[in-house]
Amino acid sequence: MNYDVAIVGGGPAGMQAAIEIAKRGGKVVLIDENVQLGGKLNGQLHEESHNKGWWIGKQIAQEMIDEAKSYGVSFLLGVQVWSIEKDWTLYTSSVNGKDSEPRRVTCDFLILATGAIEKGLPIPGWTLPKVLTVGAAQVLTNQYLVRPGNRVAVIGIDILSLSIARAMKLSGVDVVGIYLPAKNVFSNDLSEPLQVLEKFQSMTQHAPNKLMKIGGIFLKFKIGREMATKFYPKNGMKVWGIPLYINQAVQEIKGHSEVEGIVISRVDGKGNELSKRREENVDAVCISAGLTPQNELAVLAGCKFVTVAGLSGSVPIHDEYLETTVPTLFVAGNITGIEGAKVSRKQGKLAGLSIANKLGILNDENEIVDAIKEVHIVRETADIQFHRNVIKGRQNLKKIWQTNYGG
Amino acid sequence: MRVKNHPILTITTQKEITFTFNNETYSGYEGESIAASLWANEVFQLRTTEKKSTGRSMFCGIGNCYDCRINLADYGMVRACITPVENQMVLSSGDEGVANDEL
Repeated sequence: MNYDVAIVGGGPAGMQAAIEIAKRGGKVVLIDENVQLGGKLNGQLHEESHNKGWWIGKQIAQEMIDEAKSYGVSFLLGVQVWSIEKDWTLYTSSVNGKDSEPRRVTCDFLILATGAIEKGLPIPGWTLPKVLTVGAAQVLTNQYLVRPGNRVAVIGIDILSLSIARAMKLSGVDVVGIYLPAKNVFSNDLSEPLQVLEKFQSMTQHAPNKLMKIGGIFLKFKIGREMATKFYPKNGMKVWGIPLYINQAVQEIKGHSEVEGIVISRVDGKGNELSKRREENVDAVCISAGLTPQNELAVLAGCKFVTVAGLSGSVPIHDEYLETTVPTLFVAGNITGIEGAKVSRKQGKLAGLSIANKLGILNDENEIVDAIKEVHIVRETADIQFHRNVIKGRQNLKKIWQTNYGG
Repeated sequence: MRVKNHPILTITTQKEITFTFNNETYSGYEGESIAASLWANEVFQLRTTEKKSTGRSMFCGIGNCYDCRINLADYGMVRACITPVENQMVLSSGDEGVANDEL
């Protein structure tokens, strides 16, 4: 079956792109490994700033699904794309093995909206059953309404881990604390209180609540950050009733056949151990080490990549219309760098309109100009920024395109 | 482990199905992943490793890390975290993958 456009990834970016193209009469297929469309939207649950209430990702996803259906988008769900060939053939199979042989999908334009993956962060005991990423905890808690554990520790202090700790608490989990990871060759600045505090400062601009302002408060301490970490309360500072330990690190996860506890010690501003180790009983542990773009298919397609600070990993180089170095291949969402769902959605719209224009089904090219502006506005006013240098990173990426591939 | 009350999210009634894992029968909800169903039944360990026989459960939850691989009868390895559970499904820990054949 040949389509005008195939889109890999049914999250906010992929769905919005599908909607824009199908709405204008393009023939679109949207492919996702999951049977449920929406991607990470399905697990998102947080309180927005300026009294805008709760962001319930599931509801947003459902609205988008209904809209995509109303425009006749075709869906291939529970289907994985395991290879692609240029101009364009996608090789697929079902995740549950029900396809007796591989299927092929062909298209004229391709959008990769494959999102992000979570980085691993090895600390002793991390392979034990019931150690999971915060993202997995988010899926269990908010999407499937299953608690990851009864008494859970969160390792890694960042926007995502705080938001998911709160979601677990809302679902009835006793979240014993949010800690730093042990300092080791993998942890980098994630294990350093001073670095963590500094990162928070840059993210507090549109902080929805007191929690995200904590970093900012510490940085304004006259005695300095070093002192702030030293005099941080022993029992943590409570946010939403969850103890946040900015100067304590989990050195080890313990258990025989599954998680039974964590070993904690106080650390200095650089993450070095200061105190004797103590143990805390928990029955599950969530680790947060940050997200990075899921870019394997773009590699297969022959896209040129670059690693730019602020985008949280290696991304396919693309122009302002989101077309990559491989003509007719577009990207949208977290594959272009880690940002929130609202930015992803606007990028999806932009990629959709860019392709609609090439297909000759866009009535007014000004719509693209507006879509580019919308991406910028949403980015600049986002409640949650995943990296303090994201705007600078985008500017650098634009320069790289212009210098090497532009006109 | 199922959430019965939630202050923000609406909990809807779902269609119950039954399946087996390592010859034990469990119930789950239609539309959820195999891993979520088993987790709700307090079954966490999905397999043991080929080399040291240590337990593994779901880790990334989005089909990326392959720690949750599980054997689906009459087919083979699937990822428990993104494969939907189905009525009468027969699952086991046996990782009948390439590694066992070649060892």
